[in-house]
Amino acid sequence: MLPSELLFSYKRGAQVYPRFLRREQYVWAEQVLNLIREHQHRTRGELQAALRALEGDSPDYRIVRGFAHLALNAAEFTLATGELEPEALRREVFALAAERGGYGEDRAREVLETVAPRYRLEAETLREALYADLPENHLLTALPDFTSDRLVDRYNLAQAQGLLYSALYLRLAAHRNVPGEYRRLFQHLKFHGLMYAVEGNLDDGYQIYVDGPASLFKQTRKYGLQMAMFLPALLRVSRWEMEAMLQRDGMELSYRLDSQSPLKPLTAAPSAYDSLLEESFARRWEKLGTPWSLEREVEIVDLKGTVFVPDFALRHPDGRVAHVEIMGFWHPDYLRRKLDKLRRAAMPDLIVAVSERLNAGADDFRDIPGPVVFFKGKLEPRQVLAVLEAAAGTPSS
Amino acid sequence: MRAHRDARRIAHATPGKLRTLGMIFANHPSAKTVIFTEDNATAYEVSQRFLIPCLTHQTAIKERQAFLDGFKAGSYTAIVTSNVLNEGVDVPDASVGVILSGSASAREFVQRLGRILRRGDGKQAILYEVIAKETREERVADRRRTPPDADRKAERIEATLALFDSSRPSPAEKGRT
Repeated sequence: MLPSELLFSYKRGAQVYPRFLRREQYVWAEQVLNLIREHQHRTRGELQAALRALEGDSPDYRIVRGFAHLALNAAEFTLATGELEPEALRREVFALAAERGGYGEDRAREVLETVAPRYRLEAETLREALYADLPENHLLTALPDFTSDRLVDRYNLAQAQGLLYSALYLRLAAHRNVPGEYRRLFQHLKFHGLMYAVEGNLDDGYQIYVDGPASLFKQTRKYGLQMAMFLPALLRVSRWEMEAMLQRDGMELSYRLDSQSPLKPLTAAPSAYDSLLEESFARRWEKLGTPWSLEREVEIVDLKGTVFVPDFALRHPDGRVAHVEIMGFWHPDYLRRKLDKLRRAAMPDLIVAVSERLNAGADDFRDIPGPVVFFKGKLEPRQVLAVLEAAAGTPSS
Repeated sequence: MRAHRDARRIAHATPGKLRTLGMIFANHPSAKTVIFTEDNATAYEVSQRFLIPCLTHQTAIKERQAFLDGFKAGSYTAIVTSNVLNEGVDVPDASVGVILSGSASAREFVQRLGRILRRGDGKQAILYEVIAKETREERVADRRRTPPDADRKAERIEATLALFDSSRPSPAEKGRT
């Protein structure tokens, strides 16, 4: 994804469109990648200077910067000093230089020659190492592993994503897709922590309404990014339409995309666990060493007109199954809709984990058949396990 | 483009400025010295050349505090900084100030002066400005030297040493009181 200053769009009436690359601009992708390749094992500062020289006075300079941004997101930089900590080196060298009294180039050289052998370095290498931790002195060690065509795809996708940073809401229609695709779509909505409502069913397709960051009680940039990050997941569904309403310059603008768009999904499937709350839960669950295994593949529970997709399924080798739903967002309307769904789903094997930030009390969950646990900050896997064991009447060993 | 050309000329002038800085150190071997630079690159270069603690906006707060405390306690006698010390940071007592790149405005100039002199009431302090000849720096410095109504602090300037030729540094004194 790209920062706002590298995004382009244009308006036609009340419609807004991302500005995709023109064919003659593709050439910059190859040039940026070549320049990056030439700078392997060289510093970020040198690379940046070379990129600035490449953009020169070209009116396309922001395209060059966009390509560079996306390509370097997939690159790796490391400290040239390896295990040595530049900050510790500075402390030692500056202290020794000060002890000797009186600053001068010759004295500095003597100090470096005294200290360098302790680290098996040359004096001048030590001098360089003093500031190896500055970002511009980091070495480019791993190159982005994609071609210029893929970089062009990423760039266009990033432009399409960028418009969603400020979406008020979006409506999705997905129809005539295979069930597996729907499941993946709902999973990604959940995993990106997006608040959504669904109508429809497997046969006729689904209408999905997704709340945007701009309509959240408390606007967060993080939420906008999650929404934009969801777009690549949508591209993996065969047939879809999207309309987003954006708030721009005091106007509401409509932004439409559909499966006919030239956008291509990323080669690697987007990670299923991008919602931080759930990712950290899944990771910590693994560490518990319980026979209950946490499953990513969850079912779509058809609620006649809408769907309910629990966050996780937990499966025990003896065949028992439980589901977990984590409620972490604070938004009264969302909470009301979610509670309504939980009641309709009436799943006795569903454990509902509620953040104390939600401002919901035990009363709100009275007519929900499954167990409810409240958590502060992070949901502790132990809390969930305790509920499972209590239900089975087998205290933990 | 003009900014670009100037940047190159200034970068070209840096070796001469560093030599001049070495001369200033030689003239005041044990004086507490603060060196001001306009850009981070020059600050790091001074730091690497003379092994002086350096403060820029990139310096972590902990390290910055350690350097300032060390300078205050006298364990370091010099410190180099890009614009971070311009405002809002209490610079400890110093008796020599060196401005190493001079596109600063008159206000910044007076501010820097005030900073190093603040704790030195009743004492004399020296502020040097090292400028590269034939760049905008020179014009800026000239313009500033005739302020219509200089701050009283400016009157405490003992001497301003200027660098003239980057190939053969021959500091000439433009003293005024």
